[in-house]
Amino acid sequence: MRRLPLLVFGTISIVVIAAVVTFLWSLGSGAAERTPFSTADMVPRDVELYVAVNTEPSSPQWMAFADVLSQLNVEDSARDAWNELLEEEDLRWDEDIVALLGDEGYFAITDFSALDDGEGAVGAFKLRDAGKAEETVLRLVREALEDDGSELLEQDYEGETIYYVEEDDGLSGSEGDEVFFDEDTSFEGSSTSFNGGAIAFLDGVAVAGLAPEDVEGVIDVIQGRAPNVLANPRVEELRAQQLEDFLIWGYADLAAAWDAIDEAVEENSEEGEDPFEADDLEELRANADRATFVVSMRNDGFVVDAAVLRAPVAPVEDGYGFDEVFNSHYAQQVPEDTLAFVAGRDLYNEVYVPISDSLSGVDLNLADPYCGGFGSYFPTGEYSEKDDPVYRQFYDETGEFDYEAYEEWDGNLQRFFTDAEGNMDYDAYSEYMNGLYEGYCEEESQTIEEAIAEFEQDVGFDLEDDLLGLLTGEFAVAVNAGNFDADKPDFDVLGLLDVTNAARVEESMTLLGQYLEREEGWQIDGPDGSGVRLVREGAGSDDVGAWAVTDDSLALSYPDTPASAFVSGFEGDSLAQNEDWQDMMELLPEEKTFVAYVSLARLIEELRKVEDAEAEFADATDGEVTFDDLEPIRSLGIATTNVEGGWGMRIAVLIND
Amino acid sequence: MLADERLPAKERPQVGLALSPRIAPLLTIVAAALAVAGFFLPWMNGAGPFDLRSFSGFDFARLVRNFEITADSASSSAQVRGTAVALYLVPALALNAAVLHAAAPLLGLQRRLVGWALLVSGAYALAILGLLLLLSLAPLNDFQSSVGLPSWGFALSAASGALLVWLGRRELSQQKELDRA
Repeated sequence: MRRLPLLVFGTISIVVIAAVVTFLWSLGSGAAERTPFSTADMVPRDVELYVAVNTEPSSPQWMAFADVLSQLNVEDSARDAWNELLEEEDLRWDEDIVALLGDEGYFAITDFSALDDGEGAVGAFKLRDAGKAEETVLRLVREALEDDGSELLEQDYEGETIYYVEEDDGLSGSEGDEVFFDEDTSFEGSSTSFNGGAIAFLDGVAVAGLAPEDVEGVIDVIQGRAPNVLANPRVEELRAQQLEDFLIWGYADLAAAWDAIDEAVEENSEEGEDPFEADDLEELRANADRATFVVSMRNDGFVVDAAVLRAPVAPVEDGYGFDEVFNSHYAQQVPEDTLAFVAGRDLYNEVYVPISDSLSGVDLNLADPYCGGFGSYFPTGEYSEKDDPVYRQFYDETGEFDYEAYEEWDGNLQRFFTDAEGNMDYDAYSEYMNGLYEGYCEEESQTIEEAIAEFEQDVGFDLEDDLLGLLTGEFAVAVNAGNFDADKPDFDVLGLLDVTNAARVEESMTLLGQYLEREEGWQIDGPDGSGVRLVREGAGSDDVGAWAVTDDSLALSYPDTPASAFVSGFEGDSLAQNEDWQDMMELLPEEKTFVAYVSLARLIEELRKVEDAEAEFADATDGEVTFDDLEPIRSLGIATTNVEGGWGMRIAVLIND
Repeated sequence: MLADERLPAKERPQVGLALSPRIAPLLTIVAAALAVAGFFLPWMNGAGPFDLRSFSGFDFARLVRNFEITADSASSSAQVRGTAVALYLVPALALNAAVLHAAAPLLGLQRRLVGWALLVSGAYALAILGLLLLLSLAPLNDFQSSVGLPSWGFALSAASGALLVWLGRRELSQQKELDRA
């Protein structure tokens, strides 16, 4: 009988305690420190760029970020650096900046085209103490303005005070003065002013903009006279998909960017010239209509997500980025200590065909510094004055320039374009010279398509049917490096490609080898017992590469050892068994269409082996950070994935102690 | 009905402050209410990056749970959750003690059991608050530089803890007197 009250006591206690704890637990889950997008109702509806920033230091995102800094032993040094910087302004990072911020802020560009006029960008931050923020900001602004003689102006707008600065453009002069830039251009009038920024402090919110009009726009939104971004379906559709908290979330309306590019190209191109075909721009518009990016923390890493979405009515087109989901089987066939690894699927259809379609008509002379319009943007390699189609006639075999011959030629030419009064017709002279170049360039012109056809004829195969078209499975590249201190550091690279018809690929590779032997003087040996052929760039060269075709794969490597090891089957664990690889694959999207992986841990390990590296690194960071501190940084990964209505990418850094 | 309430009023043992049998459970309810209210009132004033914030016991539990994102194993995740539950137990134990005390006459619970429930709930609250006080005063880790010093909700919770301990001791002493009688 004595046990009964004890049983009642225990039962009641368990029930009451469990009920209260469960209730508090669920209450705590629902009442987060911050609501993501809590500033969305302050953002003007028609934004072209919108970036929301989590500013709540006690949110899990910032706590995870602080934890990462702490793991890397840089939290204190980062804070000290900030404090040192802020000390001059009598501010402290934690107490006067972080503590002042509310749970979110945002930056937005409402009109890209207005930026040139000093308008169109705004930002708003929630504040915990608007009074202190106002006092601090205005003090700093006034101090800064004192130095350049400007003044902080004020204006009232709908019951709020907007502080703003009008800066001088530096062209001083009294009214009516004329300032001459050159003979044809003059600027009448005195100096003009432009927007130097504006800010207003509302109830618990600081609103800043490039111009007072920008701030007025946000005040209208906050006070309900203008619609906010929640009424913009283009943004709202994407915002609603962001269910988890973030550090930074961004949206870009690419339609506006395409408009700006279109306008800029039109303005800068000469009449009749069409450097950017309308079809190309429409295609880009259809395939990249909006973009989002998210920076967030995970328990073991740092993640950046980006997505580009097609226009809502645009048809789904193949061939824009990788879109076939796969799990890399080559990760199971390369060594565990692989430094970098890249893999995707269908090299032919996803890479070659779209590039070929876009570039087949491009003139190979495009990158020629004398013929191509883009010559100056490309590395010119061995180009020199000697290659100039007009002036090369004055260089002899040893590369010496014959000035006498040149002067005689040029003198004759100038005389030809000079009339009896001694006036030279520069326009005609210039036209003649251009004609010389055009004639040469037309003669030398060859499209990529024509060059490929010529190459196919020389080799004796059809590049697409006999080789590239047979590479529609997985492809991968594995890189390893080390011993950086040596005269010749260790380096090897292995390319692996699934083949659908091994015999045909073998035949094509043999033809290609024969072509390289014939045309380039390469030396191809083998195959050896495993089917590996050694490739030397010249007879007797020490640099040996290799290729081999197995039943399922084409392997190419430099030097020869990785291909040989792949064909004979390497011993030991594979990359797929590496813990960092496995953790990274979990951090990356489940449905990958392309993956890249770099073992930062291995890279750091190799760097540490370099003589004096430890000391030099410590010196470079004033002893604040050492290689030991970097140990938690494990790897970098990039993966692309299919997202609804578009294409997505994640970049992740695995940090794990 | 508690065991000693069956005795005539004059014969009931008197320990410390004399309380009528109806007042003591009411006091427990008041102490539990204070414990619950105190749990949602500021325990600590923020400092450093949290200078303009304050943290109640409930906020602390949430803050602790936010660390779960940094947990890289099941055990560290369980540790984080366990710490949050430890904080939620402060009002839970107080409410439990109040329920037991109020329901004791109906359920015929011994005064000893009720006394222990009260004592444990009060002592537990004081232990948790004492630990937080220690962390806020001693520079053991970042706690001091980010959480600051105790605030009035802390004092309220400590008072409720002390009241529960006193009520518990009183119940246990009365039970002892009763046993002697």
